[in-house]
Amino acid sequence: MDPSISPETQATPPFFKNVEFDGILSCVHCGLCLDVCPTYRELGLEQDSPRGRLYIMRGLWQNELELNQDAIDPLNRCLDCRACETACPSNVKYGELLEKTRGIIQENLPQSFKEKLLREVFLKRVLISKNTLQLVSVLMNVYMTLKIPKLITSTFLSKILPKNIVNGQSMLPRFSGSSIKKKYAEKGNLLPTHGREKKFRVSFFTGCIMDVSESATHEASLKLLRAAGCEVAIPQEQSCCGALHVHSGDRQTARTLAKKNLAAFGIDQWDAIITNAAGCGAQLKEYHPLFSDQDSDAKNEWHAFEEKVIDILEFLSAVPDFPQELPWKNGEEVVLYDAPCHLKHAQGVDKNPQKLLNLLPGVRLVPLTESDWCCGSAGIYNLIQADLSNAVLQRKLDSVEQTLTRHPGAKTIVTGNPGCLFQIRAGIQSRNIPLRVIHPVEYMAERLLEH
Amino acid sequence: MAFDPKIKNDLIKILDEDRVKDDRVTLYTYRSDALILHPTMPMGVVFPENREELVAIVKLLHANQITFLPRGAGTGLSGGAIPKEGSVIIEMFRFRQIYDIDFANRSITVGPGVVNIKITEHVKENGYCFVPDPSSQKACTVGGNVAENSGGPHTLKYGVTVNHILGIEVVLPDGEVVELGGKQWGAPGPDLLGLFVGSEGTFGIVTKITCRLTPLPEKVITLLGIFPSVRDACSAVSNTIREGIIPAAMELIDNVVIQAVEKTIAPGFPLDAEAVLVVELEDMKDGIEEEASRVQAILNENNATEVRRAKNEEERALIWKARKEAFGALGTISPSYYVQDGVIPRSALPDVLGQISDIAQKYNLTIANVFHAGDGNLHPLILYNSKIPEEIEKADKAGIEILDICVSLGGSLSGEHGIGLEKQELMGTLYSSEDLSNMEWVRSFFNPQNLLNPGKIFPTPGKCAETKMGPQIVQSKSGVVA
Ligand SMILES: Cc1cc2nc3c(=O)[nH]c(=O)nc-3n(C[C@H](O)[C@H](O)[C@H](O)COP(=O)(O)OP(=O)(O)OC[C@H]3O[C@@H](n4cnc5c(N)ncnc54)[C@H](O)[C@@H]3O)c2cc1C
Ligand code: SF4
Ligand code: SF4
Repeated sequence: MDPSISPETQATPPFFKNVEFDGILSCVHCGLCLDVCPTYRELGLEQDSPRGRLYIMRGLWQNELELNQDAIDPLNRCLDCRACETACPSNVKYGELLEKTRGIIQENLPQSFKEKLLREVFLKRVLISKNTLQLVSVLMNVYMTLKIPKLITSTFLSKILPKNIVNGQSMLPRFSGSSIKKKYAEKGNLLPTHGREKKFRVSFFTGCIMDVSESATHEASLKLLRAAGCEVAIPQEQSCCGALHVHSGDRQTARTLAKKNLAAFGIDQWDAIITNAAGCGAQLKEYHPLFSDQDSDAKNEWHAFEEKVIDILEFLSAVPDFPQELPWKNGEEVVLYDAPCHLKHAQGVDKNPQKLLNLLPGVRLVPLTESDWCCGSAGIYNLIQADLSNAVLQRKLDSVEQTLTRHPGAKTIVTGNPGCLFQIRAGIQSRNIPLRVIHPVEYMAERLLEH
Repeated sequence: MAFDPKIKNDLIKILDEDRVKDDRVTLYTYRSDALILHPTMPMGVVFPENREELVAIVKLLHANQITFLPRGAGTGLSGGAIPKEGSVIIEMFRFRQIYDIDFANRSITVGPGVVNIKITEHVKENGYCFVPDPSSQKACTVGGNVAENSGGPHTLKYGVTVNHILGIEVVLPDGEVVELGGKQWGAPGPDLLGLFVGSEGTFGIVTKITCRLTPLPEKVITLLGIFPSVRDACSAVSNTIREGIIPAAMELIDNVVIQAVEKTIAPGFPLDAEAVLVVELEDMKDGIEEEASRVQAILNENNATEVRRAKNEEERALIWKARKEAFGALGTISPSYYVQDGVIPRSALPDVLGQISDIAQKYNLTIANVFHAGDGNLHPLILYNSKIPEEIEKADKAGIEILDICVSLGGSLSGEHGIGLEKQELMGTLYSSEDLSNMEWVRSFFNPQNLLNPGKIFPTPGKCAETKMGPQIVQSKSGVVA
């Protein structure tokens, strides 16, 4: 027997002090997670599989591996898509362990210039400041109206600019130039129900980028919620959820954001806190591991907050008589469905959104052949690991084309996460596939008749 | 350990830099398969993509007398893919091609790196399946299945891997390529294919596999018997088979495992049941209902408190998910487990399970049971805490005692997981030294210099446990020792 598998024979290295990491022991090394991992599928290396990554983390924790580039490269290549958690029979909390390890890496290793730039400017300044975000949105709106992205991708500029800048152009959100939060602040923050008696009081999470872009998604969400009998509040003091920070290892900023959101939403006022971005929802439901050193009262408070958070599709699917009681267009249509990883794998929400969409008169929802595989967007992964992200995207596009040959009439793909929307939309354009990619709520709102 | 620089250079000439690895992180992650008790670092890992590259690597290693072994998905439970002597690991992941599907001849030819379940997924729409269904089928490779002669729940009725392989292409340890078997059954001469399947990666490296396709059954009925004691469930198994009924599968799940799967998969097994028995019947439509009611009656006669029947495919899938993911689910109640894989005559099941529970008591360990009851293939899972060195030792001892019981009843050391490096020292309890040297002689026909996957299956010289029994016919499913 090899004594090296028992951690107390090795001292835990200092950077793991105060980090709850015992959860790593529930990985029994069975390998049942291998074949669902997008990076393992691309690279075929044990260290780029979930089991291999967990083993590296365990090696670091047991002081058998050094915290160096060889060890962190495979961890950085992870999409944090959490497909391995769905596959794991042992309930290993892979995402939590990875994010904790990334926190350790960030605090203990020098970062590359590119990563620093992204972190210091984008994550720490842009995403968490209302005013900067709005300014960026206005500028980007102009940038896009002037068709600069097209200029970059379709002219000689695409040859001379760095590759991820060129790729990034096609993945830009549709910036609106204004903030949803602000718009409704002017209207008094509390939106009444529409055409129905009040059944629920909910509050609405607007997010950072989504607050100033893709406004159709938020408008559609508000329309559906109100039609379903909700009075909807939009707390003004809410901020970015912190997911991108957690994924990149910046736990300190994430903690600050978590506290801000807890204060902005509170716990008791609402029947639910609604999100329409799967990635944000997953993060809002997982604040407690950021504070593992807290006492049980504080932990309970986080759990109470997390329990209030719910994805809009999951919420609507549980509203009695919704959608049956409302008037919908009834033209027949096949709609393709892509399950966002952070909805299916991180939040475990999968069947109900699909059931809900299938209940719309005339709609037949068809999941993509590889609906539950990552599209490669993964927060800002597509900017940092451009090649691997693109390889993963190409698989998704293959799956879109495959599904389309079976259902040639389909015109729309729906997917409930902004990152996936941008990524898949860009891919669809690059291959000239005649489909539009929108958020499921946008699709539903289109079919809802005035009432 | 790492490659000798000259060898590394030569390997890079055959592959390229990215596919020849010997950094510490690579070696570390390749030091273990699903048997985590014996990690050993390889000298390096190489990633060929096709047969030509593989042959060139093998010739190079052979010429330099460097030992090597293939690795599939590393889900093996007997350490078959562990580089015992620091050998070079040849990762077979990239052999994932599906070459040829021939429904007229009911066969499919695939690369050895194809994941088991992919075959059935590929042909299901046409009404076929690939029968061997190890619980690891979502991850393990067909190459690994051929090497271990893997079984699964449906082995009871349809046989193990060897019964579903028509032909293979093999690279021998000196680089020569040979074909064994072919698309048709019944090639004349000695059955070298049958000899090869189950050789645990010690005879050659498989590069192509022609698998037999089996029509999907017309109708399937899945019953779940709930029992107040393991003994009753075991008697139900023997009595069913005694009545001449061979279900497609009969799987027993005991209370410890029920608690674990209810935490993860939640199939709705009663938490207070001491055992549940999954019985699956497959047949032509006519007659199956009658068979189902007979089985139901037998379960009731053996004190089943309730017999449920899966109402639809969803319910059936949930029961099987619970069964197939049971090993992993134990991770929720224990940090580590050690799976045993003994075979006993079916009639001895109730007594042996009693003895296993005595062993658990003696060592103050929990032993869970979830196994292929229909063919007497036990999988006691010994739960231990790897943080406590004495527990590791106790787990090991308990495992050996359990196997001793199996062997003393005329059973075997392994039903399907193989001997590997886990049970090699126990081979002497089952075979005489003459038997063992005859077997080694057979191996030397394929692998004369023992460069391929050394240190497996046979006892290390001088360490062999004392022979307790003479030669005998052993009830076993593993090709090599049968
Ligand atoms: C949770 C769990 C459940 C399991 N359930 C079952 C079960 O129900 N039934 C069962 O039989 N087993 C079961 N197993 C054991 C294991 O999955 C099987 O032995 C499987 O066949 C191993 O396949 P692999 O691809 O992972 O091979 P590996 O573990 O990588 O290798 C196994 C052996 O095969 C050799 N090998 C691999 N590829 C080749 C090749 N191309 N040519 C020659 N030799 C090769 C290796 O050298 C090694 O000796 C289970 C394992 C786990 C973890
Ligand atoms: S993460 Fe889960 S599925 Fe993957 S090896 Fe560990 S226990 Fe098995
Ligand atoms: S999170 Fe996704 S990419 Fe990362 S190990 Fe798990 S399955 Fe692979």
